Amino acid sequence: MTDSVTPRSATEAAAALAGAAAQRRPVRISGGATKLGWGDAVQSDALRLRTEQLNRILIHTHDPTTATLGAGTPLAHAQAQLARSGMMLAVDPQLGLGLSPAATVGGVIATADSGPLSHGYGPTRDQIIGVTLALSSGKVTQSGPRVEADRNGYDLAKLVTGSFGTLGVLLSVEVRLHPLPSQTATAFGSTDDPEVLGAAAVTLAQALSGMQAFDVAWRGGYGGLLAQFAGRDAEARAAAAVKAISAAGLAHVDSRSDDGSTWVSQRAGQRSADRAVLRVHAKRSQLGRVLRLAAHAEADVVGRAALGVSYLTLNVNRIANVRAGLPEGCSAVVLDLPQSARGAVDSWGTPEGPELQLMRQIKQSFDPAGVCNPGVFVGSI
Amino acid sequence: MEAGADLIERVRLVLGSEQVLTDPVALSTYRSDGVRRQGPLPLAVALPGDGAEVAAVVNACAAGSVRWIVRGAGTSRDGHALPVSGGLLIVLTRMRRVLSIELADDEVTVEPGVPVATLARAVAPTHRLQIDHPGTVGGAAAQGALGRQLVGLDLVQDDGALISLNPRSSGYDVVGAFGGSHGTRGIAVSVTVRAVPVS
Repeated sequence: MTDSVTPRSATEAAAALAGAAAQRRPVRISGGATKLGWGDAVQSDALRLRTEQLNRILIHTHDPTTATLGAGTPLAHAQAQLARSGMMLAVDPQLGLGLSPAATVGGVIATADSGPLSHGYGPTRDQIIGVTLALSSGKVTQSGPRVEADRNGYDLAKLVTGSFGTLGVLLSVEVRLHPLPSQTATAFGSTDDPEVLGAAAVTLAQALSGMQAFDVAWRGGYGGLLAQFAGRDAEARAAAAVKAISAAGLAHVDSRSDDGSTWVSQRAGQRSADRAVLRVHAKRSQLGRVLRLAAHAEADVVGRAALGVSYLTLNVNRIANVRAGLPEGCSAVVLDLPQSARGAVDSWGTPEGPELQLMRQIKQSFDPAGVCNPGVFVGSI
Repeated sequence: MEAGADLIERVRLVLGSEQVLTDPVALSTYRSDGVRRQGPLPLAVALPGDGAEVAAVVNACAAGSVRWIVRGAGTSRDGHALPVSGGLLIVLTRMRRVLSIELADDEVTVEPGVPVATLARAVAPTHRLQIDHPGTVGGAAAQGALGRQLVGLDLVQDDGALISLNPRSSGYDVVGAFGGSHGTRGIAVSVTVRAVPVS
C-alpha cells in the first residue's frame, strides 16, 4: 500500500523529497488529485507527497497586483479570496471532473492547464512572476523579482510551468493579478463548415481587438466562434463585433451579456470522465484542418481559436487517426482517458530527437536522483 | 600549435579569413557594451553568416576548449556582451535576414542579428511589435526582453549541435525558458516572434 507525507512547510517538503532521493524511491506529487490520470503512470510503490497543507494565500499590501499562493491552495478558493479585493488570477481551466472544483494552484501550474482567459491574458506561464521549488537534493530554490536573478540558466518559472512535477515539488508561486471585470458580453456566430470556421478564426483574431476570450466550439457537425469582451462597455463592443463575425462568413450571429453559462460549458468541454481528451496545439491557420479531422473522428471540440489550442473529446480508438492527420509541427497530448484505456495509449506522442535529449538534460540537472514523478512526462522523463 | 591559434585557423576555414578579425585595432571596437564598459581584447572576433556557420564555430571552440561569448549589436547593459580574455567573440550582426513572415499566424521568423527596429518595419503596417529594445532580436531574446512574444527558436548548443525548438511541441517550455539566459544556454540562430495585429 502506498504511504504518503503531507508537509506543512518548505523545509518539510524538501526533507521528505531528499529522504526519498536517498532511498531512490519515486515520489508522486499530488495536489487536488484531479489530474493524476494525465501523463504516463508512475510506479505504484511511489511515496505520495500531498501539498494540501501548503495552502497559504498572501496578497501583497505593497503591490496589490501580485500575490503569493501556496501550491496546495485550491484555485477556486484562491480566486474567491482574490475576488474580495476585486482581483483575479487570469487562469481559468476546468477545475476537476464532476462538481468538486478541487484543482490546486500547484497542479494547474504543473500541468500548464489553462482556460478561455488565456486568449486575453496569455498562457498560465505568463501569470507567474516567481516560484519556490523543493529539489530532490533537499535544497529549496526560488526565482522572482525579490530574488537575485540566476543569470546563468533558464527561467525557472517558465520551466516549472507544465513540467508535471518532474523537476521538484512546487511549494508556492508569486502571481500577477488582474482586476475582475465588472461586466462581460459575448458575440457569437456559427457554421457547419470546419474550413469556414477556421478561416473566420484567422480573420476575426486580427479584426477584433481587446477580446478577453476568443473560443471555438464544435459538436455534432456544427460549430461556432465566441468572442468575449470585458469591462463597462462590454455589451456595446460585443454588439459591434456582430458585424465583423457576420462578414467573416458565420451565420446565426448575435451577442448577449448573460454569457456565464456559455463559458462554463467551454471550460467543461476540456475534461471528460468517460472518453479521451486530446489537447492539440497547432498554428491558428491550421484550425480548419484540425476541425475537419475532429469532425471525421466524431470528436467534440472546444478551444482557443486564435492560439491554436484545441481540446478534442473522442473515443480512444480515434486518437491515432487524428494524430496521423495533423500537420507537421503540431503536438497532440492525451489528457483524460477512460480507466480501461490507461497504459494502452502513449500520452505524449513525441518522437525521439534532440529536443527530447535537451529535456532529459534539464531533468537530470534538477533531479539527478530521478525521483520526482518519474516516468509521467514526455519521453518517459 | 597552441589552442588559440589552432582555433583561429579552424574558424577561418569555416568562415573565410575576412570574417575572422584578429587585428587589435579591429578587435578594440568590440570591447565595449551598451554602457561603454570595457572588457579585455578577445582572442578573435568571428562573424558567422548563418546558423550552420555558428554551429561550426561553436563546435571548433568545444573541440579546442576555448571559451566564447556571443553578442549582437552589443547593447547589453549588464556585461554579457563583453569579451573574455583568450576567448572568441561570436558576433551575429551579419545574420540579418528575415526568414519568413506568416501574418495569418501573427508570426515572423528572423535571424538573430536583425535589429528590433528593422523587424518592426518588416511587420508593419498590418502588425506591430510590443518590444522596446535598442539592439537585435537575438539580443532581445537572450535578455528576456521578448517575453511572450518569443515563440520559437533554432538553437546552437554548447557542443555545436543545432536544435529546433518548436513552440507547439509538448514537454518543458524550453523556448520560454531560454528568454533571459544571456547566451549561456546556446546561441539562437533563428528567432520566431509573435507580432500584434493592428485592427
